[in-house]
Amino acid sequence: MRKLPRLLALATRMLADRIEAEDVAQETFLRIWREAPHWQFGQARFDAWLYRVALNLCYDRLRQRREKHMAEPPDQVDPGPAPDHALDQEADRQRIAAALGSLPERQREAVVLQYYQELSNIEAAEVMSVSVEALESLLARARRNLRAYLKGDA
Amino acid sequence: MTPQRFRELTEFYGAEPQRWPVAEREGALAYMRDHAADAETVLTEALALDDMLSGYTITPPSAELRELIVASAPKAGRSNWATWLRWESAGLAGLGLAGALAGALVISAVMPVDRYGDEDDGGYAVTAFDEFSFPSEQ
Repeated sequence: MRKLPRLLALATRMLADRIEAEDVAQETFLRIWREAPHWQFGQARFDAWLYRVALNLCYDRLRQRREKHMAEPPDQVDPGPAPDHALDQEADRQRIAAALGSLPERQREAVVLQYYQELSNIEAAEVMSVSVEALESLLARARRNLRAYLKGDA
Repeated sequence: MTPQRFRELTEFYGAEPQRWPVAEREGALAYMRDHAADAETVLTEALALDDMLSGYTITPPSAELRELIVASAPKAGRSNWATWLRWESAGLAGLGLAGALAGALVISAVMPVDRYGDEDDGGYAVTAFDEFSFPSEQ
């Protein structure tokens, strides 16, 4: 299983900034190096830990943004390929990124883990250290807010 | 499966059954069969949002990023990549990680699978992280 694409996708969707997401991915792997010698297979939920490390790094950066009063989202969400025939697709991508970015952070985290990372409800709840019921509440509010944002944005 | 719970499932998890909790999936699918018209109404709204969300794709990591991460690995770890594979295939991974193998562990996670073989055929495609998979949903 390749973890880097998933970590990068997680961070990109949490931060809506590709460069920062790449920094988070690199830092996550540095943390793995530091921690790996202490891991005992089968005794810890490494996947959950890995997600938590990446998410905490994302939260650090989001906090720094707030402290610097950088409320405006970056212009460029993800410098993905955007050939002429894909301009509509790119516009949709940016629109969804903006909608995700408009969510409260815990709601965004819930959607990213459950929808985009395709974790089960139990896995996502474990990563977020909440009950499944609390996760469902976050997801319901997140999807309601996303729908409202996208309707208003259309 | 009650109509209320079916609606909740779509409000929490969307319209795709594979995203629903395993324990409730079969009941929800049965509900869809038995109450097709009601289910369709509920699913349509959830599906519209799912479709929009699915448009937010992420460009895969560049070769440069992979190289940066690999280059920052401890040297001992990098040189022990082959050693790690031997340990892993011998089932010794369950004993824990030696510090010198930490770098190899990371490399196994960042390298493209096709560099070592097809993911489905086991062998080199297996990474250390596979040992840490979540347990099956209850």
